[in-house]
Amino acid sequence: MCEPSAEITNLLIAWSEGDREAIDRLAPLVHAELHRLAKSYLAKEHHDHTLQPTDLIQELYLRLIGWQNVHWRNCAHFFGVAAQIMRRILVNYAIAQKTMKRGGRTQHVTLEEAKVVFSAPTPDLIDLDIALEKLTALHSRQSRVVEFHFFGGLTIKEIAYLLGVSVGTVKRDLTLGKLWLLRELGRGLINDAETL
Amino acid sequence: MTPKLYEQVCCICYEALQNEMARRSSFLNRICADDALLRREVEAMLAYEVQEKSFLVAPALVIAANQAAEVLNVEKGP
Repeated sequence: MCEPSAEITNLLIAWSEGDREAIDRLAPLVHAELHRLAKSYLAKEHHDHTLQPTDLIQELYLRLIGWQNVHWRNCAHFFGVAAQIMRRILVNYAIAQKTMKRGGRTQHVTLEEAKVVFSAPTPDLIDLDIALEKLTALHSRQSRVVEFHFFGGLTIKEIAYLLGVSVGTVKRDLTLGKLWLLRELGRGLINDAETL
Repeated sequence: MTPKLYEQVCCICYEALQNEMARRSSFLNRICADDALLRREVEAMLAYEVQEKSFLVAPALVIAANQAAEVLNVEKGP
């Protein structure tokens, strides 16, 4: 197994020590690591040549958690970092796609365009990121629960354990946080329509 | 909205969600009384009750992995 670059390790250390900007430099590197892992999976000639996303994520997480010299204070600390990295990766991706499309027709990049099938209308990732920041100002735990659940992929029980609150509290935070986000995103759509 | 008002809205909103639809109006009449702003904020969130159940249900990291997998599968070909 290749050792992760010293740059990633240093950035993880910087971030864990409070350097909030380190995550912006960290995200593209972790994204590249995700691609590298996917490539190595393909090289192993899996029977059906189909990559299993969950396997990839598990391996990425194992690599993140195993990176030496990074002193995770606890599980919540680690998963908090992982969730933020995933959030940054996806938002950066959406911004890049949006930039590429500038000059053409105005179109927001949605999760749907990231090749994901959702059973409900999907939000604009950039708008979701902004709305989540606003929610942090109103209710930081709700915002964190949504971030852990959506960007970190954690279950309700895992989030409850990590945050040291009851399952009921997490369910409540998630429901209310999502309601507020939907409302906020809906308000944005109305404002957009009014400016057309 | 202030964090204090939001906390109040959340409490009422969550309690309203536990009530059957038919009883919500009377519940809100009682709990919000003459506070029109409070009621408006609560109702604005409750309006998304149906959408909320299917909103952000798939983890974003699966999306990221799918992106990586698809890009590389395309590069490698069948």
